[in-house]
Amino acid sequence: MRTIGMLLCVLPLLAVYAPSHALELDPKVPPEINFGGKMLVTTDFLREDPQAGNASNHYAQNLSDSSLLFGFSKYLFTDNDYGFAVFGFKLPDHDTDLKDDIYLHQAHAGIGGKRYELLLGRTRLTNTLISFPTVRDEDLLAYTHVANGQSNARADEYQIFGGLVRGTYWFSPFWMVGGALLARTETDPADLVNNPGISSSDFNGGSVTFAYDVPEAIKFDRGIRFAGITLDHQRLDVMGTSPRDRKTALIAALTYNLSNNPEKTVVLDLQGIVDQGADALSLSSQVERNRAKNTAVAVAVRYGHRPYLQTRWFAGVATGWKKYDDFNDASSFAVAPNWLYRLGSGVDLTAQYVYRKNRGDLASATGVDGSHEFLVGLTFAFDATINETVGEGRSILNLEHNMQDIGPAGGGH
Amino acid sequence: MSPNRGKGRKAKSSDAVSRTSSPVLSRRTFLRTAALAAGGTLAAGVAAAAVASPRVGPEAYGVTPPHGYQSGQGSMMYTPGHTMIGAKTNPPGAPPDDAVPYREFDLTFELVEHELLPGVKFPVFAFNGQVPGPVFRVQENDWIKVNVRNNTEEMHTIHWHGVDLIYTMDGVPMVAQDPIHPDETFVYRFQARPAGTRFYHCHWGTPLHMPTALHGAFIIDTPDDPIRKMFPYTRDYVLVLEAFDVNFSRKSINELLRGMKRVNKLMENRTLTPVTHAFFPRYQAFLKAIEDGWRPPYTRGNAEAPQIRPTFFAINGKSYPATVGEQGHLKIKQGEYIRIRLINGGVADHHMHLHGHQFFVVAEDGNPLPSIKRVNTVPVTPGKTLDIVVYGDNPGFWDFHDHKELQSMNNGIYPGGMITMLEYEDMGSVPYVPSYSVNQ
Repeated sequence: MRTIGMLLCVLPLLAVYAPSHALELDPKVPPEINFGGKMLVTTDFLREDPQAGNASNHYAQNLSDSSLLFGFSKYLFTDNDYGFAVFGFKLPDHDTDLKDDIYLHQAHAGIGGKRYELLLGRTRLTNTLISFPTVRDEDLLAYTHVANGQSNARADEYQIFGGLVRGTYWFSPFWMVGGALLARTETDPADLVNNPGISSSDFNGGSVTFAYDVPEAIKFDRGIRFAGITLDHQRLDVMGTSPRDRKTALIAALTYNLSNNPEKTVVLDLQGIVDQGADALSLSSQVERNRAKNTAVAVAVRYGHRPYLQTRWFAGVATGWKKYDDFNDASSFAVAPNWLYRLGSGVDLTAQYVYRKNRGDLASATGVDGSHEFLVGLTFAFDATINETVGEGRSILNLEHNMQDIGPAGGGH
Repeated sequence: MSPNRGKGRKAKSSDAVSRTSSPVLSRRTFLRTAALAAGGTLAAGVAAAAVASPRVGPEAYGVTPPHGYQSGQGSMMYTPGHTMIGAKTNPPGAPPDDAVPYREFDLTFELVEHELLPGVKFPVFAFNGQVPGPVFRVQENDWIKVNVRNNTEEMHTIHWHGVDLIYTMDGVPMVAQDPIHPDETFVYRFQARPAGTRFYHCHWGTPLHMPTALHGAFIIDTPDDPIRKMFPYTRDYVLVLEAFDVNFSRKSINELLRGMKRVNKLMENRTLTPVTHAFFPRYQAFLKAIEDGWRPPYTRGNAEAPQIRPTFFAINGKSYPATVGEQGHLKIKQGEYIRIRLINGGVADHHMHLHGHQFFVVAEDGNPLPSIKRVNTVPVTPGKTLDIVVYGDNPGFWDFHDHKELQSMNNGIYPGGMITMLEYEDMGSVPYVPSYSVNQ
């Protein structure tokens, strides 16, 4: 029996490996390898103002959003189409349910061509359209992403990443339509400590996106650089605490060039989310806030100082406002000015201040009136390519949040 | 928005204004420049010299006066309206049309997808859309007029390699002429001399443009050809030898297209400075830009250098087994002399070996050799032309190939690349007829 068991384990491996050995005339083709990553180390100071009692101060070293990525690609037999795969892991927030775990945030494969791309696996969800200028992805998460109604965990990764089957088709270099089946992470609200993640593979939603996206080569010339809408739908089934339900959200976004001067860029980002929500009785838990009907708006202005097209520094301010429509004056507001100074290619000093304010039922439910957060740190980002044969891919770092990049989430540059 | 935008605007080079930098640098500027150039203790010595000679003219920067005081324009970035769309440029230096009887030719710069052999296509810049460019056959001392139109979004020039012409027609950008901009027509006028096997190629972005495919043969014939007198050949073959890194071409051309779209758009918007694109009317301006904080591309953090690794090798645009017909297949008869003109238009060395024959090397760089060698293998390095004569004295089908065997392969698969055949036409019934194999 033991031998049979071992054979059963080995057989799938043989099935994968066999073609390169058995009468296969096509040579084994080494892939183009793209690897990249980002080390983001900041020293954070957080002052939280509770509804009752004295303010509390926290000092911490924050490594979150640091990541390592490996991408592989090959041309298909058609020579105009390509296949690709990406593995990537990152360090989650230090104060979330994932704690010191390493989170596999990119694990996907796909094929693509001049006009299409099909992606299967884990990567960024299609629940936002613009990458806002904040040091980290999650700094204004509540305002920039449609919340995961399946998750009760304090894990931003469950809001940003998930499983997808995503197809994208470009009608022209400017116009695209995309559709995705989504598998958002579901959690167990009853036992978050020992079992924060229940499933990250069950399909529980979908989205459709239609966008106008000016190609990178001429992005400085247009007023509108990006405009898009996404319809996001989730089927909710949170392990025993809530009845099955559904919620739908509409995202609309616009990126507008205020300056035509590429040496002094001024870009305005706007995004609104109207989340029709599901049944939520209060705002006290994470999952209820995620499920509650809400309207959110995020606005950012960023300036890039790039004499001779050589980046020196960026400054930006991002703001967010969110209102929970079914509750009494339940709203929040945040503003995040930030600054980045380039020391060298991919090596940047960065600083950010974030002010958050809760009002009404939201402040009561969370017990927090507001907070001040200041961080200063250093970013080291890199990417490189080995055996460059497929080429023409964007930098693998476009899979990561980047406060300097302008425009749509996931790159688009 | 520029009022001069749009097609139809003609901006001749004579419209251009040149930005003339002051020929005199302040002492302080010079001190700092010297420190940049020499660094450390050496700078102190240079600075001391500057005190004794505060006026520094262009001669200090490599151009002899009085020529150095009037530099070329260099780019449409210096042109009002920042566009050369529809412009026709007649550079100075050649006789006007009514002064000499010109033989007139039309050429274009095109971006095309070229098929090297079945299954392998890649993008190339090509003259008239063909690889290699069309063969010019002219007589020595003919006056030649070539109207070349740039139908790509990249800049180009034509260098007439080995032709002794007027320097303003030599095609070296920024040295002899401004580059030919997208949608611009440039007129080259020159006298074809001396006789021999010459060629032409783009001299802009040379490591990419010339080896991708912007090259072609320029044959200057003469009735007094000493080679024909010595070897009364009846057929004359031109073989342009090429090395292609298809991945590099694909990647570079895509990047160029993106970059040029951006540059052209920004120039239309008047938002790009010449410095941004690394154009300088004078060497002092280059130094000044560095002093002002501009970092030259070759200093940016020791960025990885582009690697050009040709994996496909071709004769007249085709790799074996596609080297048939006009693409290099040679035919001869018993007792016949044939002349083969070998032109290396690429970046690799080739060692051409003919089986079964000892051929004559009769000319190098287009010029007849004073003493003729008899060999069976001849090296043809980049930029060189070699003329050989084969005498038909050994009937058969004979391999003619690059004996650098790694270049007689297609992407590492032998046989392929730079292989062709010398075929005797008058063999009658033959004991063995060649077939094709592309994977041994």
